[in-house]
Formats: sequence, structure tokens, C-alpha cells
Amino acid sequence: MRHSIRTSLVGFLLAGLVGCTGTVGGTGTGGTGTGTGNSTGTGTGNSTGTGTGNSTGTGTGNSTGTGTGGSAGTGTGGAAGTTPNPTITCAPGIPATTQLRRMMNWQYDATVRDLLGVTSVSNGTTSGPPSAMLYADFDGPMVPDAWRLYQDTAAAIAKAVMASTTQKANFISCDPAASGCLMTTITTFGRKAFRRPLTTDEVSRFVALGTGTPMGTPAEVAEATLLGFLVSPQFLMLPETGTTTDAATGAIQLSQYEIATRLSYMLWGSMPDATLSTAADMSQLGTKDQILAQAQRMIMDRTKTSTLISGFHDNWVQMNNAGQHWWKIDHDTSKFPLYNTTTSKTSFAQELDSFWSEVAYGNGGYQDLFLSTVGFVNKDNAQIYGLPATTSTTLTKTTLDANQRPGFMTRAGFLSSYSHYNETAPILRGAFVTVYMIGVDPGPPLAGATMLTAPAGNYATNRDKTDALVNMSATCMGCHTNIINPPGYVMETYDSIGKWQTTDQLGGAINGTATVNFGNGNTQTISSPLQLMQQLATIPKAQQNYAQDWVSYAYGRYPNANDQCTADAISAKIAAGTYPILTLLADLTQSDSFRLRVKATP
Amino acid sequence: MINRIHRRMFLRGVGGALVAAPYLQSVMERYAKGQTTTTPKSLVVMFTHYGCVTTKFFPAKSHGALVAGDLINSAAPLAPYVSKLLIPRGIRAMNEWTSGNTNGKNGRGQGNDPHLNVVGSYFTCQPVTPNGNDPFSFDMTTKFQAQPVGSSLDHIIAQQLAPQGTPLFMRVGNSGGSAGDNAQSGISYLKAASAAAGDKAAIYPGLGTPSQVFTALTGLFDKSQPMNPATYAATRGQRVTDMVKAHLQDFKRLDMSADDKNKVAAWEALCNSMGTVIATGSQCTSANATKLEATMTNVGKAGQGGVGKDAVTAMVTTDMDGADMYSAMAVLSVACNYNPVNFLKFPPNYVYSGLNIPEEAHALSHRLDNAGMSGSCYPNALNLLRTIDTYYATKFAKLVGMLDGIKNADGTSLLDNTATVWFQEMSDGNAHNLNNLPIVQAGSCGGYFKTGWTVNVDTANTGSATLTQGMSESQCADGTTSGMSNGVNQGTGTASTIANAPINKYFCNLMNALGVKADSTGFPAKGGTQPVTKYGYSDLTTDFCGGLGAQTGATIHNPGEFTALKP
Repeated sequence: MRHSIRTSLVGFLLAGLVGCTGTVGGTGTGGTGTGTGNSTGTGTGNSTGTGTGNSTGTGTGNSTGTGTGGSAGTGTGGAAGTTPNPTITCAPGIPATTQLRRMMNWQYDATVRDLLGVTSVSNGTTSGPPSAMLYADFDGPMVPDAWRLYQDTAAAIAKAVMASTTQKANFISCDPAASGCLMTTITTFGRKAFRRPLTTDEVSRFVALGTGTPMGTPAEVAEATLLGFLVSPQFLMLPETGTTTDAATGAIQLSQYEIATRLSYMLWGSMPDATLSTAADMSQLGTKDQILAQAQRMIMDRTKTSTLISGFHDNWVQMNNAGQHWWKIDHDTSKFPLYNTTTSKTSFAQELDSFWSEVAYGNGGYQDLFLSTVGFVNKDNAQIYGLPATTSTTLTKTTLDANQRPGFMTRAGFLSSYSHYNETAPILRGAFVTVYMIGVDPGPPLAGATMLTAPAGNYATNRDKTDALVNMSATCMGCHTNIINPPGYVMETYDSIGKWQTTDQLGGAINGTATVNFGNGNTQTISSPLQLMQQLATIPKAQQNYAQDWVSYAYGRYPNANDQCTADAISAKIAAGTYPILTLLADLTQSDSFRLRVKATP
Repeated sequence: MINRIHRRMFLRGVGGALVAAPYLQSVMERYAKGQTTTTPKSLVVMFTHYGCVTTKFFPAKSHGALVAGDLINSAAPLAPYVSKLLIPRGIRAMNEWTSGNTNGKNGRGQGNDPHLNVVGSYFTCQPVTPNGNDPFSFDMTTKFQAQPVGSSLDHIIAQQLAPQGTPLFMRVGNSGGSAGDNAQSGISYLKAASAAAGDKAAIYPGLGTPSQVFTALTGLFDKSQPMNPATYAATRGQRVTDMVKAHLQDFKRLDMSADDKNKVAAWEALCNSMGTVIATGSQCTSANATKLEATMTNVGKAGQGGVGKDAVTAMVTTDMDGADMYSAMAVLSVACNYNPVNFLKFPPNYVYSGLNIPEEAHALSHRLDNAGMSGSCYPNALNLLRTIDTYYATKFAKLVGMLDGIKNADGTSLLDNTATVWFQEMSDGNAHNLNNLPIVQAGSCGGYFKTGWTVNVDTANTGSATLTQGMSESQCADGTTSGMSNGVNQGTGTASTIANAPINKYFCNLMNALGVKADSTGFPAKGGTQPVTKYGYSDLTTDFCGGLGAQTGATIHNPGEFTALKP
């Protein structure tokens, strides 16, 4: 089952979730793969699309003759069109789930790295992360090409491991020719590979690889043993096969090992470490408190957990929504010499990933996503942020101007993506804020709306030109003037690549004041981006969406009534303020559905 | 001459042998020269998105023998192969989106999305679910997630003819990366046999890089190192596979959902297929691989994208780009009889920066700088589109040339025994019209099709040589921003009353040419003995309005294939 969700790319595995595409540039290379179903409005032909979430920016504001120049991108044009999160009523219970979740490709990489120390492998034609050799993440049963590639990849890994002294030691620490060595290896390595002790039958099967005729050399048998582990369904899947019934709910209790697996794959996308494995061995994962203690320990491993944090937030802001605008547009370097068509996008994307991680590990919460002034600067963005030029390519943490740079929407990555080639795009920026940060869906544009163009005139600012366009139709004004455009007008204080500006390219003074509708009757006059972000940080609907997205992403499930209860509890904590993201992650391990499962029927 | 090898040994060899060499040399079991059989037939499909500037693509005449001079403008690269071409005209695909597809009964199909409808139904001829009745709705489930209720042609054919049971489906440029295509661009769908009639088929992502194909093929064409069956290495694969099966048996003993049981069964079936014998084609040689420049190094270069990189047009050798390397894999697949169903799908929403095109192809197809359907003309849009059209034609010509360049002992070429077909998502990309589709076939598929002809099968005017070339240049012709593009009115398309012969019939042609069989109903069926006369949900695009079951009498109204395409 793919994930669609407003944003969600699911971090955890369901029945074969598809990884994120994270497509940037001319090729659709896979992204973090933390999620699936970029399904959020990968959209083409969204058609008349003005203004709403998609805003391909069609029509109105955008169609005023802006050159495009090199939008890099695969991604479908416009139409994010993803409607805001569904409104679901909490219904206590445990949703039905598959028992045979297959690892996603990015999890395969992380697991092979942690299990064997392998980060790159060659198939004879190319070298790269093991997942580059694998079939795409996909729903449903195994298909021939996928199975073939699993085998090929496993064979390549096994061969490489046996040829490397360091990696080999992660698999076998004795002479395979020595008596008992392979048996010991099967037992100890198998414990890690299968994330639980092997059964007697399983041990026998691996032992049998070295018996019979023709006989293999000890080294051959050892390699075959490793290959066998790497292609085993018990390795490639994250099976949940326990049968003990929970007396209180009637659901099935996950075993200690299954809980350990859920914890590690949710938080790290990889196998349990030694501490977690020992806890499972000692049956110390039976209570919520015990699970919480492990979760908190694991969350503090920033290196391992940052992938989850960055992956989720990239998705939350629609970065993996091919219908959105992230990383699609280049800029006119004659007008914006600070923009580098070769390196800027990469730097900007890395800065945002660093931002998410720093906010989380700085004990920040949802509100800090909008208000934090932490930045990561290098040669590509230092001067955009008003800092001295640097030649360094290394992103260095710094504190940015509190008035000009609150939150992620004042970072060059967002601002340059939600712009045109050589001018700003207030409708794109405004629609993003309206739909995804406020949680208001203005609905689709009216047919023919995109046929409008601004009347000819000498406009002093892009805002003036945009106003002139939408003012041509009272119907357009209804949404654009009152809902969509105002946040974008506030953001006119940043030019097309995100540099603070007080004078428009057209010569007029920037007017960054607008009356913004924050929903539910909350309309305010906003005069600065800081004011805008301070308000956005408090929007209840947006907080609820964020919570729902986290639950869906972490658990690997579409939003549903059972999980809504967990989401509601989380959004209540967000609303109360001072709810660190890291605490949110830990709280995700406290739901009943984290320890219990229900079999899908039929 | 066919060489027979044991499949399991071939797989074993590939799995276990990774050595540095000019090409991958897998260790193989001894092989026996088998009896001569008829040359197998293959289907090779190249699929591109967003149609073309039809007025600069279609030959002027729509019916009659073709000469090189008929192929001009964007079609000029095809001229050298004119004698081997068949250009069927007057055909339409099913489930066209229009602004009038409302209320489940109006228009020419479902109201889901201008692209989702099309790609979902193109090779399935099935409606998508859930249905959308508002053509301008942004509802996520209908606009972005709906998928057809049946498998696509590549799977239907592969289930009968491919040793693997699945097609060799390649995403040129590795579009979609590890996620593959989505519902707005995916054309390959596989539906579980156990699924209900109204259930969605799943998108089949296929393979993203040539190396993923190459590693499968190299075990077939290099026989220089026969494997000694008396060695452990020769038996390793089977031992491991047997162990995997035992692990799967553990799952079978559990009380699981039907979906989980299906997963286990499917995997087990794959393990059991290890013993299947396959026959390699006589042209399956390392010499031909080298001739195609399909070396380890070159294959490894192709499909390697990245931020801002155009992997499709990036040169891999002096005369082959990334796209060509995927084509080379398809050619090797044909030469090796690896898979009789080979699809090459070009990426959606692509920026062909290597062609000095600064805008992504979808927006350009609308003559815009965005993916809306109307607005001010993008400067020089039509010329840029023609550049893409010509590029695609060049790629198809290259593919055809590769196939035609490998000769059989009887003087025929691989091409002669294939149906190599270039399908385009729509006729004019701005109008999204599915009638008057640009389709180009090369190869007679063993004499099943006539070649050197364009044949007008339009039911309204069969055999007419004057079918319109469309109206692609009626908007934004001068390429300046003074003009307006309007995709909603379909002004750049073809009048909806003409060129409506159903694509279903052409699919029947292809299936029959390849040897797919049907049951007594005329629909493809494994174990059938009859020719295929019916395919899909309906051969009338209006039957798709409202989705599955909405239109009373939705059926195949005009069964059979296009006899006019046959000699």
C-alpha cells in the first residue's frame, strides 16, 4: 500500500512502500527513500491550476512574461494540488497491518552498513551503495527482476566482504576451516542478520549449505552462508510472526525481537544495535517505559536518527512532491550573480537538512521550525544572508539575523525554489504557506482563470503587477486577494534567490505588509516575515497536520481513525508549546499499536 | 541455431561471478547445441510523453507506400529505414481527458486527470479507479493516485511468452529513481490474479539502469567459461534457493492475511522457476554486445544521474548517449531471447538540458513555462518541442538500426522478427487528444505486418491518404509571448470526430503477431488456443466515462485486429 498522505513519505515499511524520489534536476535519482508515495500530488496537467496549492503558478502571477530558463526538473509541473490532511476522528484501536514488511532500499543500505560495514559495492559495471543495484521499492509481491537483483546484490556483497579483512571480521571471526567455526558464525551472525536468535531448523539449513556433494572449500561455504543470509526472507523482510494475544485488547503482542526491530527501523532505518538486541534477549522491551528508555537512548544517536528527521521534514514541506517547486528552477545569474547554477541547489538542500537536524537536536519543537535563526552557510548562501563572502564549500553553523531569517521559509532553499527564473513569485510562496502551513485549501481555480494576463502598465513592484492581474476578476480576487497572495506579499522582502530586498527589481519600494487570513476567523495585518512566522507557528490546523504526518510517516500507514488518536495526543502537546521534536519521536513509541498488531483480513 | 542452457545455472553464474573484464564473464554450465527452431519474435516498445508537434511529424500522406522523402521534419531520422516502417494512422487510445468529462457521463472519458487517465489506460485499455467526475478537481485520490483495474499489455504478453512471466521494462534515465513512476506517468501495471475486478493494478516500476539489465544478460552471451557442474560453485545457487524456499515454508505455516500469503506464494514461485530451461538466441554473443558498445564500462556510465544532470542525452561513447545504452539492452534482450517483451519508457517532466532546452518537456508541450493548460506562449516553444521530437525520432532510428544491424543466417535481421513500436502518450501534448495518435512501427514481426507503408485504419475514412496532420501549429506558432496557448479548447489537436480507430485492435495485431493466444472469448488467456480478438474494457473511449461499470454496454464493440496492417 503506497502512502499518499498530504505529504507523507513513509519512513517505516509497510507492505512494500516505495521510497521517495527526491528528484532533482534532469534525472530522477532516488532520494532518501524514507518514504513512499510521494503521491502527494505528483501532478501533471494540473491544468488550470492557478493558485491553489499547486500553483504551478500557472496563470496569474506567473504568466506575466517571466522567462523561465532552465527549470531543472523532473517533477511534474505544478499541481501539488494536494489537499490538506484529511480530517479524521479518533477511534481507539489498532489498525490492521501486514506481517511481512519488506525493507525499503534505503533501509537495506543502512542495514548492510551496520551489519557488515559495507557502504559501496560493485556489480561489475558500476560501484555505489548496494541499493543502486536493487529493484525500485514497490508494492506487492516479489517479481522476477527484483528477486534476481536481490540475489546479484547479495552475491556482490558476499564476495566483497570475504575479500576484505575488515568487513569479513564483521561476518566471521574464525577460520572457516576450523571445527565449529561455521556453526558459531551461523548462530552469532544470524542473530544479528535475522534480528533474533535462529531456530534450530534455521541453523540446520545453513549448516546444510556446507554438506553434501560436491563439497565446497571452507571459504566457499562461508561465502555461501553469508549469501544465504542476505537473500533470506527473514532478512529482507521484517516479519512479525508472534502469536501471543494481549488480554486487554485481543490484539497480538509483538515479540521482544519484533519490538526491537520496529524501534530500530523506525528511528534508524537499520538493525538493532547490541544494546537493543540485549534488551530484547533479556525481555526488557515489554512495557511502555522500557520501550521509551530504549527509544530515548537511540534518539540521542544523532548520526543515525538524523535521516529520519531530515527525511520527514523534507516530505512535510513537500520536497518529495514532484508537483511542487523544490529545486526545479534556476535563476538568471546576470540579475542574481550570487546564484550558482552548479552548486547552489545542492548547498541549499544540504542546509535545510542540517536545519531540521539542528532544530531537533537543539531541543526545538514545531514552533522552532518557523522561528529558529540557525543557519548553515558556505560560499553559496553567505552573501544571500547578508554575511561576508566566503570561499568555503563547507556548511558552517551560524546564527542569522533574527528579524530577517526566522525559520525554514526564510532559507535560500525555499525562497529560490518558490520563485521564477528572474523574479519573485508571490503566488507560489503565498499558496505554499496557505495550503501547507496554514492548512487552508482554497479549492481549484476556475476554468479559464489562467487565460488572464496583467494589463499592460508600468508597475513599480511585482506585487503591484500581481494585484493588477488578480483584480481583473472579482472571482479571482476572492481567493487571491484575501487568502493566497497576502503571505506571498509579506515574503516579497526576499528576492528571487532569497536575498533580503527593500527595493523591487522594477524600481519600487517593497511593501511587505499584508492582511493575512490564518483561518478560523484569525485575520491579522502582518508587516514582516518574523511576524508571519510567529503566527504560522501557532496555527492549530497546521499543528494537527504536522502531528498526523509524523504518525503516518513513522508508522508507515495512511492516516486512519486508529492512529488519529495518537496524532491528536501529539498535536495537543505541540499546541501547548515547548514540545521538542525528539520527545515527539519518543512518544511515537508509546502507542498501543507500537507494541501490538492486528492481522488484516481476509 | 539455438543454444540451450539451464536457467538455474545461468542465474547461478551471474550471481556468483563478478570479475573485472571487458564485459562480465559469468561462469556457465556446459551447454548443448539444440535443434534449430523458428526464430522467436519480440516486441520492443519505445514510449515518450506529451505527444509531438504533429504537423511536423506525420507524413503528408496518411495511406500508401512510403518513400524516404515522405519522412521529413521531425521524422527525418527515420528515413533510412523507411522500407521497414509501418505507420498506422487514424488510431486513438482510450480514456481521453477533456474539460467536458463531467458527471460521469459526458466527454470522452473519466475526469481524473489529463495524464493519469491516459497513461493508466493506454496499455491496459481499462478505466482507472477511483473514478473522478470533475476534470478540474484536485482531489488527491482521483487526480494523483487512481490506477487502472487491469494489467497492461506488456504483462499480458509476458505472462504467456516470457520465461520470467514479466516484461523487461526499462525507465530510460532512471526516472523516478528508487520509486519508479507514479500514477501520472506510469504505463506498466500488474494486477494480481486474485484481485477483485474493481481493484487497482499496481504500478510496475521495472528497471532503472542499464547495468541492472546487463548483469542479467551477460550470463547468456558469454559462454567462454563453461562451469564444471562438479564444483561447489556450480551448485551454490540451488542450495541457497532451496534454503530460501524452506524459509518461505515457515511463513506458509502462519495464520496470515491473504495479501501476505500471496507475497509468500509469489516468492516461492520465483524460487521454483530456477529450474526452467531457456533457449538463447543465436545472435546472443559477446561480439554483438561489443558491436553495440554494451561493455561493462559503458553500461555503468549510463543511467547515472544526479542533481542537474541530463543522463538521457549525456554521451556514454562518441556515438551513444544514455538513452542509446538502454536501447542496446533491449537489443541484446532480443538477440539473446532473454525476454520477448521489452519496453523503453522515456521520463516524464524531463529537462533535456543536453539539447539546450531550458524548460521541462511537459510545460513545453503546453507551450508554456509551467504545467498549466493555458497562458502566454513560451518563446520559441514549438521549435524547442520539435527539437525534442527530432531527438526521440533519432533515438528510435538508432534502436531500429541496432536491431537491423544484427543479421541472422538467413539474411533477415533481428528487426525483421520484431515489432518495434514507438508509442507517444498523446497526439498533441497541449490538446491532450488521443485520437490521430502518432505511432511508428519498425519490423514486420516475422512477416505478420506489411512494411514500407503508412496505413490509415480510421473507421471514418479507411484508406484515405489525406487524414489531417493535426493542428499543432495553430497556437504559439511564432513562438513569441504575444500569443496564447489554450489546451482546454484542444485547438492544437485533431477534430474529435475523426481518427478514432481503437488502439485495442492494434494491440490484438501485436499479440497475434507474437503468438499470444486467447480463449473462446477472444481475450488473451494462458492456455488459450485462439487468436486474440478482444483486449481491454472497451474500445470506445466514451465507455470510460464514469469509470468501471458506469456506462451500460461498455464492451469491445469492434473485435478483431486491423487486417489492413497485414500483407
